[in-house]
Amino acid sequence: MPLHQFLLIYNAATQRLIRANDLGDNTTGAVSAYAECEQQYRGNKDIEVVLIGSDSLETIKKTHGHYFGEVDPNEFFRTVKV
Amino acid sequence: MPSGPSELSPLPSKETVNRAGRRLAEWLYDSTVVIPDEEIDTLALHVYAWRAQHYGPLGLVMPMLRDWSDRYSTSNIKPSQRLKRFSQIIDKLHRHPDMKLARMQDVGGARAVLANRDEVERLHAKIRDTWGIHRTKDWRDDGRPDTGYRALHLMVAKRDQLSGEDRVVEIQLRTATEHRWSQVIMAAGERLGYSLKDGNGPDDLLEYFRLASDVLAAGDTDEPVGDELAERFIASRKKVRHYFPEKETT
Repeated sequence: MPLHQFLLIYNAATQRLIRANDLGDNTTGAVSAYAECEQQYRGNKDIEVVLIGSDSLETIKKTHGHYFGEVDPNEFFRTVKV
Repeated sequence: MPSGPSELSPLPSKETVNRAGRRLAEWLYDSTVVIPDEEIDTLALHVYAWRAQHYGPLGLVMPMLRDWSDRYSTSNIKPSQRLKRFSQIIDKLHRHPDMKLARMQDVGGARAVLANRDEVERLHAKIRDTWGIHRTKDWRDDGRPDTGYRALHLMVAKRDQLSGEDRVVEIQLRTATEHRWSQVIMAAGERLGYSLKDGNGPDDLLEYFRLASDVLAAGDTDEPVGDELAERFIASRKKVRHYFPEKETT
């Protein structure tokens, strides 16, 4: 499976993912698209734009799970005990 | 009208890159610093151009990292890569006034999550023997003093075709347990409005995460949790309970 680039737009204030664009495995445009999107949101401190590459969005949900609401601090607190 | 990032990617010198990063950090965090919009655009494009020079090197690292991960990892999590966000770059320069952007070593980053420390060590050896390691940050045993973050970070230098020079990229190797902790401190920080992962937030909460990291590390190394650590963790956990309110169930 080729490496795909995903452009994520995330609202950190509401902790919601606004968009996850699969830019495919043609990587030449991905870096420019990333910078252009960041420029669009420059000045908006709530919005995070990030370019992450992996085999699938499913992997990114595991490696960068907080963008997808996949991480539950309460569950951690409840289960990490001595 | 400034050119788009794709058009203005020629190669700024390291001095230009350093100056651009520093000026943007001053501008963003000091309201007395006023810079015209056109100049901000130009400075930002230098930063984008510098960041773009880490994309090719990441592309050289990832195929082998993915291949080795398939061979050595039983975590069921494939590697990923990311280019550091613009705002994170500028924020880091603000937090480290002596840091130069051209020397920032995590502009391009790859992450592999492995099941345990043996697998981390196997991948570490493979990377060391194949590429050589430019610099190592090993927080596996003691954790980072400010937060308790644990992982092995390996900086490797790879050739960037845009500049014809080597650029350093960072490979993060984490056990699944270290990764879980790391994801949680980030999510908890976001929920509560603190940058806990950078060591900013209430002392009691930071202490809790440091001790939780110590407790989890004991599990990762098959060591028993010592009495003193256990007592401190239990006391700390009581103090921070209110940060983790349970939803009422009906």
